[in-house]
Amino acid sequence: MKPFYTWGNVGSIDPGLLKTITITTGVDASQPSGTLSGSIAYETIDAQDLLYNYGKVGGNVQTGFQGAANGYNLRATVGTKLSDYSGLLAYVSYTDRDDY
Amino acid sequence: MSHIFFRHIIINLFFLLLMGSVFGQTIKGVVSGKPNQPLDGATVRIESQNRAISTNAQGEFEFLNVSEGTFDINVTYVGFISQTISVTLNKGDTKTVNFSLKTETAQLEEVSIFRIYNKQRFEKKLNAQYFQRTQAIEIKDVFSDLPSVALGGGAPNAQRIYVRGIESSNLNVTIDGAQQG
Repeated sequence: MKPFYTWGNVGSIDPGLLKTITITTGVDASQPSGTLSGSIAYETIDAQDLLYNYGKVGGNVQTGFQGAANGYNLRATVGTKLSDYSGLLAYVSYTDRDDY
Repeated sequence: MSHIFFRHIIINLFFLLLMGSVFGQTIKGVVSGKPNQPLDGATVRIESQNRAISTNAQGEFEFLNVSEGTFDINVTYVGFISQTISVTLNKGDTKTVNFSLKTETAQLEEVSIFRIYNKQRFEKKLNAQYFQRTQAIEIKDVFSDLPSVALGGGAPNAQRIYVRGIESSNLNVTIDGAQQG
């Protein structure tokens, strides 16, 4: 079973959910398959990644504005640690760029 | 004429005597595995004579016409420790030699797989600071200043990613290790 954010192609991944992206170019036989000219490895964030100084709850808020289409973007992420091995991550993103 | 005839008899007698000494003795026996199962196809060798045969389905073997003397009989079988038994044959002997082989536990050597990067490769790791700096609203913005990566298409779900001109179905794209596409 795939998590929801792995559906579709790479364009539908929200950058706010990503921790790292590792891009490797060139042919690589040590990669599983389909590495004709490189590989892209996305690593998503966990709730624990949002915590600072061993706190219980953490998060961030981001906004963006784009002048050409009066577009704006709001994004909020909250993470909490439930136990040593589990956490809860809540994520909201809204983008409005009119017809663009 | 009689002279030649006698010579033939003498030569034949000589061969008969030789055959009597060479083709007389027999070594036979059974080769079995650890739980007394006969081993089919085990190789039985007389070391010094370059003679070898395989056992039959009952694990039996038989060397006919073995010359007199002392011989090392060696048995080998895959997965079993080979065994050698010394046999002394006197004139006219038929010796029975039974082999009971013990299983062999093989310890395989460590196999290491490693890769060597060629110089044409380029690896870049993008992190949260990078996403902030590119002010990424969608994934397209993240790749905007990477020369090797290009995105085509309009709406996020229709976008295709290219690395050095190759589309993502021919790339190894993973999300948390799960391969995409």
